[in-house]
Amino acid sequence: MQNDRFMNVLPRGIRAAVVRERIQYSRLQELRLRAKRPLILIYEGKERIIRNERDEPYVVTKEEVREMLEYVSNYSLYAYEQEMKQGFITIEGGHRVGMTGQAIIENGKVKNLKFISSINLRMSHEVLGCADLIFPYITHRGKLCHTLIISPPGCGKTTLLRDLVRQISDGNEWIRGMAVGVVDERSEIGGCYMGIPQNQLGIRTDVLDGCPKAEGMGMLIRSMSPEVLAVDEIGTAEDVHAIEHAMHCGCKMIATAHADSMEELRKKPIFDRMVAQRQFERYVVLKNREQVGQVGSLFDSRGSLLYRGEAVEACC
Amino acid sequence: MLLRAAGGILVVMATSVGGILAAERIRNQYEQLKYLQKLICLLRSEILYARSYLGEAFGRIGSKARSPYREWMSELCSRMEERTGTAFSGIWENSTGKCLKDAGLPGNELARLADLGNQLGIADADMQVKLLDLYLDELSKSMDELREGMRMKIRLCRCLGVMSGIFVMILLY
Repeated sequence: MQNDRFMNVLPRGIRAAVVRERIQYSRLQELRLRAKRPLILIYEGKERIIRNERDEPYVVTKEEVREMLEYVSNYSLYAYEQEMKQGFITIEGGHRVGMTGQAIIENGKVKNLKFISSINLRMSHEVLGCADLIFPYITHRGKLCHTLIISPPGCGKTTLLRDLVRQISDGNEWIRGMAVGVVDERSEIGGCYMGIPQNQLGIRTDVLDGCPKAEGMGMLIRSMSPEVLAVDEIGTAEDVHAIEHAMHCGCKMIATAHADSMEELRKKPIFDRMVAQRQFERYVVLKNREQVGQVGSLFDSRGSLLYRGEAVEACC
Repeated sequence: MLLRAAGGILVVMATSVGGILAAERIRNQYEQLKYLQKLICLLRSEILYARSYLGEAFGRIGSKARSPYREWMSELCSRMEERTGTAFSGIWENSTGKCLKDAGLPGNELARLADLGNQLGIADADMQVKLLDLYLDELSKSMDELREGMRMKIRLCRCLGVMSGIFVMILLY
């Protein structure tokens, strides 16, 4: 099913070229289209240049970029205005389609993109059970700890968060099933299609799709009274305020943030304050892109190391 | 004599029915434009309030629309789902021509509707709404023009139907 979803947005020529590669879609990480440049796949962490029937590099045309843009936006670019401002659109299945071109600026801010010349399709992978390893560390006497997952882009934060949400919602040997509220600003966690999550998020999960995180957390607390709130890629002061508010409301927080390490995280003033105030009780640091979702280390609120897993796979 | 009289009556009846049908066609054109106006208004609100993408909007509007507009919107949805490389304007134009050619819309309005597809799907939502507003304005003007002459044309068609029958009958005698 998942392969069908992303194949649907590929231009016909590229669709055929990818099929010819005979790859396992579950191991495909990225697909990069650049106008007048060769088509590139990132497969099992390695780059691969796709070749055409004549065994020459498959060169992407401007028309193919336009065609893909039409498919990605369901022929309705106006409906993705907000996403275009951020430079990406999330498609059915939670796959992220990043794009670059010429920015249209209005009042000093990016209003939209035009002359789109590069598209990067980043695959969303649902890895059931990838959070098994960290549950003993993020729960205490059957209770969930406020947890922040940290890693650079492309290391499996969202994959791990998704499985955490699923297991917390369904319950497992470490924790009873809890009502989870997910603010899925970029539709990556649930991969919602017409409001219904396409990924498994558990039986007690409510998803607020496409809503800004800070606003969405408040809405969920007021409307759905979740026991746990999950958000992806926090980074603004508004997000941090909303998280503090949620914690004060008695919700357990599961969030992710971009950083290479705890030290890197503390270099950002808003996170430094959160760490200093010990707002999060656990920090899960993922390690690099060689193996998606590999847990590097796990810390408690004081920064004490609870786990170091150089060779342990958390997911994939 | 009796046979001639019966033949004459039949000729008058046939031409009268022809006149009535022509009158109905004029009335139907107006009704079709009115219905099309309603559908475009629904599309406008789907874009403005729900930010629905076109396929979603066509699916929702089409499910409640009457034939042949239901088939038109269903055709649009399925052609968009196929993703065969045709640009949206092409899909719109083909589907409009195929499904609405016998809908009873005036020829110039059908051409203008087919042309609307060139501007859909692109730009921002505000621009989409403005474009639809512009189309609705023009549609409204066409309807006004049609309505102004409609009553007279309907009467004329009916009269011409009966009169032409009588004229033919006189010629035969």
